Amino acid sequence: MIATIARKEFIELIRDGRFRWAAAIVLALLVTALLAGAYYQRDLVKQQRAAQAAEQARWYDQGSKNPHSAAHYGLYAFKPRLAPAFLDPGVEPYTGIAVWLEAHKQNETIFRPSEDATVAQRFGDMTVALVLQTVVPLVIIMLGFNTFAGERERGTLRQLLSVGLRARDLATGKLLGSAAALALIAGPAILLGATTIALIGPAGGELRFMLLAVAYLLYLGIFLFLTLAVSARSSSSRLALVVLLAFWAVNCLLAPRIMSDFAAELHPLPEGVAFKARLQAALHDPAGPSIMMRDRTAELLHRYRVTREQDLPLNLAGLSLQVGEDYGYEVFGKFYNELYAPMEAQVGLLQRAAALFPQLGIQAISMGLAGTDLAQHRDFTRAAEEHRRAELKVINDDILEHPVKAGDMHFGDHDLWAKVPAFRYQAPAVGWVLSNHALTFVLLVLWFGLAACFAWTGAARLRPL
Amino acid sequence: MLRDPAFWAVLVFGIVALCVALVNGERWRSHLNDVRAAAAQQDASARAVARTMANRIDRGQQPASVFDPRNAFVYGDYLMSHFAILPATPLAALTVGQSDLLPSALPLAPGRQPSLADGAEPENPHRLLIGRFDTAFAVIYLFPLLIIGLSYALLAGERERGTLALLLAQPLTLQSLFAGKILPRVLVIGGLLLALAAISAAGVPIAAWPRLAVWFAIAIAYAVFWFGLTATVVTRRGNTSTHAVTLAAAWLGLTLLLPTLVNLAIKTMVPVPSRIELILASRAATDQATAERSQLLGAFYEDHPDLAPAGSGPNHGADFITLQLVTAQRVERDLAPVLARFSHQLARQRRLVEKLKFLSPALLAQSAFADAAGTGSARYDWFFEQVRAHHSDLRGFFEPRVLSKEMFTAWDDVPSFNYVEEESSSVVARIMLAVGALLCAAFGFSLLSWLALRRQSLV
Repeated sequence: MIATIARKEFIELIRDGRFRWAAAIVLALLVTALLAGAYYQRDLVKQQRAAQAAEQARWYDQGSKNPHSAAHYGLYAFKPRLAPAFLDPGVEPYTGIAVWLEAHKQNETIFRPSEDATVAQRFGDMTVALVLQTVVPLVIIMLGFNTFAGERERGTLRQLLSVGLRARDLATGKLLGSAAALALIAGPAILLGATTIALIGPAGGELRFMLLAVAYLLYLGIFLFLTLAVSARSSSSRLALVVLLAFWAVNCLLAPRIMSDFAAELHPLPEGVAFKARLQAALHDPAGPSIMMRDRTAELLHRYRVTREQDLPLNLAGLSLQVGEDYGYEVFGKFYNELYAPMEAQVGLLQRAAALFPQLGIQAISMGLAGTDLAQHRDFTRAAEEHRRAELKVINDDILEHPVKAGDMHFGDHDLWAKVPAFRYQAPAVGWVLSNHALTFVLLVLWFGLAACFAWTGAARLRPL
Repeated sequence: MLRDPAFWAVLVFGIVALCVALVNGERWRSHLNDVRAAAAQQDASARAVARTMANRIDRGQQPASVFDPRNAFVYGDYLMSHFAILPATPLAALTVGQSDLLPSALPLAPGRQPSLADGAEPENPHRLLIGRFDTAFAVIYLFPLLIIGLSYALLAGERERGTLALLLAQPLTLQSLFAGKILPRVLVIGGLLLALAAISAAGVPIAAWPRLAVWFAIAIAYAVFWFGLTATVVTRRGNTSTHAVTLAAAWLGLTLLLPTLVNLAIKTMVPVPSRIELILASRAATDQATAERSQLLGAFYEDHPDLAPAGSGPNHGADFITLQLVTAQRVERDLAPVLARFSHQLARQRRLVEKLKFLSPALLAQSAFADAAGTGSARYDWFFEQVRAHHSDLRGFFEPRVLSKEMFTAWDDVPSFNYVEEESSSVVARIMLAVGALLCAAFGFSLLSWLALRRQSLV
């Protein structure tokens, strides 16, 4: 019986002009988004790799020079892009693409792509994420709002129930039928996506893709269940439609902005100009490194069992530079924390708001799995900073170990540069991403469960009038 | 209509949304004003610090360090806090526009080329992605929804209840019935906009009223556009649900999807080269200039024989600062064509978006709103042109003082940046085109719905 209902629902849907139009539009949008995303992805990955290799070679081949000059010369670290990023570029337009690792300064990433874009960029990119988060839910609502309410209005619901059909069988059949019709859109889309991914690579993102697919199925499932639930409970299809459209508009459009502004009210960022001035003042505070310098010098005197600095077989300029850096690490750590802690709190609040609006949940998870959320940008900057510190340690130790007579100069050469390992960024594992988004995932599953219950009970109490 | 709960829901929702948006925008505007104040204060305090420090060094209370404020090069590039401040327009609270992405106070130093990428306020990229809930957002996204919510069942609703035939039994044409039904809805939305305009007008100085008037001209034209579109849909055959679905799809397409497609088209048709290229080019140029330093210096001293030191050797006896200057000049010259390519492509993008924005009323309205409020790209371009001119003044001031190596004490004589506002008339002229386009489209829609009403049989 369920199969018959499902088949009827399916056939009715695919014969519906609205369905054909919707399917055609959704598929066209998906193809556009996929092609555009894949095209940029291929370009970006290629460019990033070539640039990193060139920079690395530049570091190793910088010839013989004063080691501290080499530290100033530094290295550019370019942010690599994970394969799934083309499905959801996330915060990428608003974060820099590279960071200069130089002596004395923990620089911020530079060149945000949005600075090279027009006002249209503020409306976002045409991406698979946009289609799945916003367009497909609307399609589900459009196709499903009169599933029950329509039958009720036409009076066919009374007929169906009067022949002894159980309401739940009817509901299950209808659910399967609409899901099958939607699968007609989803099937080619997934196939297309998989092909694109296989063609562009780089491989390694498979697990992330699969989890992304699961998350999106959950999210779209929520909409399917809610649509059926509301349709079963509404007295008219018009009411069902209005309720569903209102939910959709609030969820997809209003909720992100309202919650984001609310999060910023709760966790404000420091004002920029004064912040930078305070940072500079702290960095140039002569009292800062002087205690550290005294202690470390004392330590060295003790280790070499001498009493006077000039008796040390070392160049204390190296120590002074390293102490300056160590003090800088402290200051930068403190200040960047002041800047990023509120940002992370804001993002955390947006994630928890998934309890109210599933859109915020899928947005966070999608960006997380695509490797384009704030946390993963921060992870890249952390890795880059670690490389900078390792490099400076090598350089400053070398200066320390090579005492020079007055007027003499010590030069570093290829052997010294080669002591610094090449910069290779390893993106965090999927487990790390999932642990960041565990609560959001739970909330999404809860939404799914509640929506399913809502649909189930609605169908059980189906009234013909 | 007054007895309809949906009407009240729409009205209350509209009012609440506008209030939230206004408060939100005003808070952002005051934050940006804090930034500007902090910049001005920073500028003054850096000068004061320089003077005190120089005094102490002169009196022998403090040894002269590398960071000696009496050295023009050190002061200009390291100690000075010099900003080009873009004042807020009173309307900035209505449209955040690009002001969360671009600087309100741009830090400048003679040795560094100015760039709009410097000095942007620290902001959560996640929030930049989502966008803000400002009044422009409320008008662009929510007002169409309010209009649709009020009007989607205009004729079909009566038809479905069977009251349409009853009404038309009166001496009444379908057109006048329709006009009579849509008019109160127009008044509600118009009333909301007028109330908003009155509140805003009370909050801004009279000098800003022309811009305010233009802002509301856009808002009204935009609302009229959506009324026209809604009328066209609801006067067609079909039931209320079909109309609601069609309108929702139109809203999705015009406000959310089309702008992203325009964005895609622009990026594909006029791609801006990757900044990765710029980084590599600047590294290569720096290497090149460093390698050719001694030739560069030779050429430099040929041009400026008065500055040549007596010494000789690989660096012609030049000091660190002259070396820096010569190298930087060379790097800048090498990079100029690369940077020109970027700005050329960006300008082409700008021109393309000026054309393509007419495809989407939302994009059209957003850029016009930002333009009117002074937070759009046009005003930042205008600002940046002045910044560039000022930067060359700054260089003109510092360079001879750096090269002469005389004691520098002119901390207060550094030319300051004075922003000159664009003429309101040219802003208005730019925006009127957008308003005209929206009204034209609205007129077309009205014509369509009028024809549809004429053709329709009565029941």
